[in-house]
Amino acid sequence: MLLRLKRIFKNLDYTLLLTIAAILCISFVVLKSATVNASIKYDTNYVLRQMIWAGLGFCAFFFVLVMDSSVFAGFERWLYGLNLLLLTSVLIFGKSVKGAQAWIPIGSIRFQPAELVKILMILSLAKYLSDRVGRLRTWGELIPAFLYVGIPLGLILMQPDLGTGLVYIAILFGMLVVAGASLPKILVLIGTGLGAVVLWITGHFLWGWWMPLKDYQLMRLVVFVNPDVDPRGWGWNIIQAKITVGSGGLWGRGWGQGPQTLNEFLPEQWTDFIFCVLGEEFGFIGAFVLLLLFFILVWRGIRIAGQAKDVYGSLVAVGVVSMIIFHILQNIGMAVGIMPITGIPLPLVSYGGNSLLANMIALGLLMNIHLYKEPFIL
Amino acid sequence: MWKESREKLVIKKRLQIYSAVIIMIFLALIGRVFWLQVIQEEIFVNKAENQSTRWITESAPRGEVVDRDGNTLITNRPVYNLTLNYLGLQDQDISQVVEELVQVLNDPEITVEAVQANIDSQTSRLYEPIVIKRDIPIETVIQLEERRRELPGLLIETSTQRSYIHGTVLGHLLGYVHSIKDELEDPAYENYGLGDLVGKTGIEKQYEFELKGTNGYRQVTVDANNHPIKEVSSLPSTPGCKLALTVDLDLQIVMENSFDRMMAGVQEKFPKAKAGAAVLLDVKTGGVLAMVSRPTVNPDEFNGKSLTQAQADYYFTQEPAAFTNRAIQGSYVPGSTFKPITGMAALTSGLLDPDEKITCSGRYWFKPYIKCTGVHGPVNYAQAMAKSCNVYFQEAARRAGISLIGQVGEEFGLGGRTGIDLPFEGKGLLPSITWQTIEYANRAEKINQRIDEKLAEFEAEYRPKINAAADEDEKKRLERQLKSKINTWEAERKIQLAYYTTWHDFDTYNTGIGQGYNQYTITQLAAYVAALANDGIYNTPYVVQTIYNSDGTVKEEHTADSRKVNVEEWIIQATREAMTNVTKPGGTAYSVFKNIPESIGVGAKTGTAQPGRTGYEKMKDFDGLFIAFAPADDPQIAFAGVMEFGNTGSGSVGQVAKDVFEYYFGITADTSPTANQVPAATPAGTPQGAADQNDAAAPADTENEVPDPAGSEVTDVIQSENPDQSPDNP
Repeated sequence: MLLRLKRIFKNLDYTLLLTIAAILCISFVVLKSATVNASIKYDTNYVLRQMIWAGLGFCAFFFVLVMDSSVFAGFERWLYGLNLLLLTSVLIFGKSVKGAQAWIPIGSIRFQPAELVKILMILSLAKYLSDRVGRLRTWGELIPAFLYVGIPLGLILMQPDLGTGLVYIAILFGMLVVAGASLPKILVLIGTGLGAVVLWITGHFLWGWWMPLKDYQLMRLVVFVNPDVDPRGWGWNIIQAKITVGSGGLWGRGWGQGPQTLNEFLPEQWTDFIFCVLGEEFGFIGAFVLLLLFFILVWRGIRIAGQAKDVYGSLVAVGVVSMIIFHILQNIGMAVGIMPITGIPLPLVSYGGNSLLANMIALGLLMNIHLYKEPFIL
Repeated sequence: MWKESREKLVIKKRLQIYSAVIIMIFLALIGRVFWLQVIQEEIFVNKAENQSTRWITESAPRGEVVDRDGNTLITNRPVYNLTLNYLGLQDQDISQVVEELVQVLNDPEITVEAVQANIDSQTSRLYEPIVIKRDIPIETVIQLEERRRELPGLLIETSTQRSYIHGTVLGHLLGYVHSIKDELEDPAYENYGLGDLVGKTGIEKQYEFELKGTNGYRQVTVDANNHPIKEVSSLPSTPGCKLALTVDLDLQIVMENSFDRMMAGVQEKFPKAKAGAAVLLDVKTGGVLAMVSRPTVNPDEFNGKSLTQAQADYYFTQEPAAFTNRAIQGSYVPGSTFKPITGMAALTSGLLDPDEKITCSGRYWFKPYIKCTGVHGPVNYAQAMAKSCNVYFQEAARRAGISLIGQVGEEFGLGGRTGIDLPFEGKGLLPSITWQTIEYANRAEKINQRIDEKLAEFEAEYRPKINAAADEDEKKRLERQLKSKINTWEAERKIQLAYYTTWHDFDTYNTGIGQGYNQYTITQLAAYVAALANDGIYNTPYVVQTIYNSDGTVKEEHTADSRKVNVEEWIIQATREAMTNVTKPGGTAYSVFKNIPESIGVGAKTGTAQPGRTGYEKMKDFDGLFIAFAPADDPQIAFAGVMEFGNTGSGSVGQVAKDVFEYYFGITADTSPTANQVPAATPAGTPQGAADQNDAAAPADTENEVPDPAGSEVTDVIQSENPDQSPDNP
């Protein structure tokens, strides 16, 4: 046992581990100033809470290392079934406020299955695709793969949780690309998918087509195209996010000194708009450092995917990386006005226990794949 | 193993593509952040600053107004105002916001059209907030706060509103405030902005710049909801000055109540009696102790609000319109209250001795033989005054001549603005030589113009006919016709000019008994009586005694504006004595001041006037006027009043003088407000009233005979002096 621990610690990817720690430290610092008013108003120490969650996150992270994650490949159907069960239960028991992720109350904790189902999806989809690597060249092979993801995706959109749905799609495409699916077909799919969405929305507004999206979700897309349609309503967040980031300049306004942050021009800036706070107070330098750390994190992930002992491991790693990179793209992209607004947290930085815990488990899986890339003598 | 490695190859290859995509994503993000933060930094810094700092005008509390004893007349109370800040609406569909606002407010007054009109009227100054509604209830404030995000540009500001705590009491004199409008074009108002409230009438207008104070400013940072977070810099406001009036609130209330009781009584017999005014002056200083105008004005109904249709009708459309302050704006034919002026002019001329007896046989002996109020026999000055003898005063007028009457009238401030510190004061009309010169020139011009037009018409009619005449005879005949027409009209011109542009003897007689062209404001009459009572020292009437700075120090104390009337001392004394006879047995106002002991003594003069204005039936409708002062020996207070359609002076507004004097001198015997059945006690049919009424009968006769082409014009002039102060509504 001791030997095993020793081996584990000897073989850890410390670059990855230190990067995670560094990002968490940045998170605590930024959260502190983002919640200056809120911590008083709601009598909550957000930073301390986040630190506790980070501690629990590390526990989960190391717990994941205990055994080779490739065992999950054997439980594909169970994982997939659990996924569907969780999503169905959210539909039945879940609570949600406008736009936020649905949760199931467990005691005083709000359990957000959306964070966990992403990991379950990665673990089961990796098995599904690993059996088909190199064969995903025809529509006949591709369509079942889409259906495989499509069923849970449908349940997610029924909540409706557009953000998590988009993460699913990002994970699917990321893993498909690496699994050797036909690139032209994937490009065609992405193209027609986007085209269909645009056409559908246009049709909805011009001719009143039926639409599964709620009005607030549609407004987010509309104001993404032109925030000045509704500058104090739906366009508010887009406009304010840009002002907050942009006014930070090269060096930033200084920790706790950002007027936009102090006066809370962005709603719940400690969650989805945390990047804006960083941008305003630490400027381009701060934003660059964070992006660099994220890049290292992702880069290590891709490296791990390349060195995994089997295809399943590679695909799980790619799934995790895809999930994280999409969160980063979506969240930061939204803050700087190149992505529409969806409530997706910035991994490891945004306040929130569910998200942090899930990300630590996912990163634990990465580390796991790294650890078990060669058979241990255990 | 082979399959495995082949798969690994695929994955390795694809991971390269995957990595490329990820690098692109990172580059895009870094590039975008660089663009926003480094390249466009300035733009966003400016935007952040613009939206987080605000200049807030800290409007200064308007100065309070108190009476002479410090009783509050006008104060302020805190209110919420709803304003629309156009800046927040730049690219927004304003009508949508307005619609939503109208829906939330659910106020019949606030319609989409009304708000839009409000916005449109301010297009040149849109950077200033537009006041939608003042004094909104707290429930509405909460309702609006909840929907703030949906109503961009909407601001709820706290401010203070004027509180006219005594309602209609002193309403005309105090005036009211309302949104600034035409004043914005006046350079004196350069420091004002849209939505500011300014005094529109009364003290509020006259002392606007004292009451206003100086606005302060605060530069604050605000949060996303425009709530101020912290103050960056500030300049405190200076509250407006406090004004202490000369008015005595208790006396004012006595006068108001008395007037209402009197008016109610008079109305029983004369239903048209609905309007009137009265002024009580401090003889020694000219300070206004009380001022009443009927119908009443309640300043709070204006007070920055829109009038209801009923209110607008009441104030502006109905007859008599309540808006006018009849004490300073209404011009009234003085009737017999003018006789002391005639008397003083005659005594000044040296052609009349106060002891000389002139025999009254009921009718004056010169044309048009104006009737007297009775047959008085031989009367001296004092007796004639007591009886208001028309014969005596026509003879006095004849001896003095209109020039001297005019001079004495001017000496006593008649026919010109007194200069009281209230806006929109009327001028009145004294038919002095100066006035005649101007008036007759105007009339001559009109007559000439009319006849010239007529002549031109004939010329135009006949000239073509003459030119087109068939033969010489026809031509001559037509020329003769034209010539005869021209001659007729030239003769008419001479007659008309001779009649209308010359002062006739009967004009002097009419003027001498207070009829004819005479028209004065009640304040003028009061000031004239006060000067008479004050040994010929004329004090300009005034309302504001002291202006206090906001720190309580005195900024300005009223300085007396007095002058000696250029009438000999003994004449003034004789006239005062004569006027005390009016309240003695046999005088026309004897019954009025029965309760006031001989030791105090009152000088008075009643008046009944036939204004000859529209709405007055000849020989039937008379204004009742009354002037008085007391105590007789060392007068302290002077009164003048009018009751439109009051029939007699002593029977109407004289009763107000009685109540006020009795209150002032602390005489309470049978004058308790409830027991005081004023009009019943002295109905128009009592000997005094009857005498008084006859008083007017004579001039009424002459009115029938004397054509007065300017009569209606005079009325027009006076009416046009009423301020056009319609607030938003009418």
